[in-house]
Amino acid sequence: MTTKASEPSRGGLTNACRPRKRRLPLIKAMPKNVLLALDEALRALPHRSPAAVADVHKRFALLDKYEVTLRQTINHAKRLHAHGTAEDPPSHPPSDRGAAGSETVEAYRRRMNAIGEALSVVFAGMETPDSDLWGRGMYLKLVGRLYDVLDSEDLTLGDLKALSGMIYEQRRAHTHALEVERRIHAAHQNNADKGRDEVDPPTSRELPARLGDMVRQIYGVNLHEPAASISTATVRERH
Amino acid sequence: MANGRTSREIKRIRNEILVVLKMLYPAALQADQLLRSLLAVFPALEWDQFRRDLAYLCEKGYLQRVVPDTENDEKLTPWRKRWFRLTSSGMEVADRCIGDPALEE
Repeated sequence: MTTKASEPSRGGLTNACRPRKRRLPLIKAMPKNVLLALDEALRALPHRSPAAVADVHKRFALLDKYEVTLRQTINHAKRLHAHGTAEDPPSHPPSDRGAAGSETVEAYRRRMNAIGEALSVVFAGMETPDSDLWGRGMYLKLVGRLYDVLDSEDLTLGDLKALSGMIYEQRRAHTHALEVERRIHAAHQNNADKGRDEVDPPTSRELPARLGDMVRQIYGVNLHEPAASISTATVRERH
Repeated sequence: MANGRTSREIKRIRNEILVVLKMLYPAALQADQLLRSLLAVFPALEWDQFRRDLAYLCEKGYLQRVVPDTENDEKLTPWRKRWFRLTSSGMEVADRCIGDPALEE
C-alpha cells in the first residue's frame, strides 16, 4: 500500500522515499510498438551482464508506477555499459596498443557493439540485410539519428520523442506501402486471370477480309447478297 | 609511410573502420558520423586521410556506398554525406575469416 503524496507524513514514510505520482505524458503518448522497440534496444545495450539486464527490466517495469523516466533508464543502461559490463572476449582483432590505448579501443568497441546491437534490435530484426529498405533515405536518416543519439553523452526527452515519432511513421509508411503494393499485385493478377477467360470484345478484333464474315461478326447473321450481283461477280471472274 | 602516417597506423585505422561497420551491419553509416566516432580512438585523424582510407576500402570491395533514393545525383553528394556499409567480403575480413596482408598488423 502506498501513501498519497498530498497526505501529510505519518511517521513511517518520509517524503524522500514516498513514490511520486508524476508521470511523463510522453511515455503515454508513445506508440506501444515504439516503446517495445526501445525496450528491446535497451535490453541489448548492457546485455552481456545478466544483472544489468535484470536491473534495466526492473526499471522498465516500474515505468508505469514511479517517476523513473525513459531517459533515466537509457542513461542508466549506458552508464552500466560504459563501466564495462562485458564478460565475453571480443570476437574482433585485439588492439596491440599500449595498456591505456588498448583500453580506449576496447571501450570504444564495446560502445559500438552496444549501438550495433541496439540498431539491429530496432531494425535488423525486421529487415534482411539485402532489403531495399536500407537504401531508403528515410531509413538511413533514421539509422544515423539513432546512432547519434546512442553515441551521445546524454539523451533528451525531445530526442526520444522525435526518434520515436520517426520510427513509428517510418514503419507505418512502410507497412502501408507494402499493403498497397500487395493490392496492386493482386489486382493485376485478377485482371490477367479474367482476361484469359473472357472473350475479347469485337472492337479489339481485326476486321475479317470477307464482307460476309464481317457482317456475321457484327450482326450475328449471314449476309444474303442479291442474286444479280452474284451472277455479275461470277461473270467478272470468268472474264 | 604515407602522408606522414606510418603503415601500422594506416592499417589500424582501416581495421577500425571495418570493425565499426561490422558492428552496425547491415546498417550503413555516414562518413561524417564514422569519422566523428573514430576520433574517440584516433584523435589526430584528419578528414583527408580518412577519406582516402574509405576510398581504398571501397576499391578493395570491402565497403559499399549506399545511395539513398533521395539523392538526385550521387556524384554531387559530398563525401561527408555519403553512406557506407560493409560488404560480405568486408565482413569476412573484419571477422578475420579471411586474411588480407594489407590490413594485418
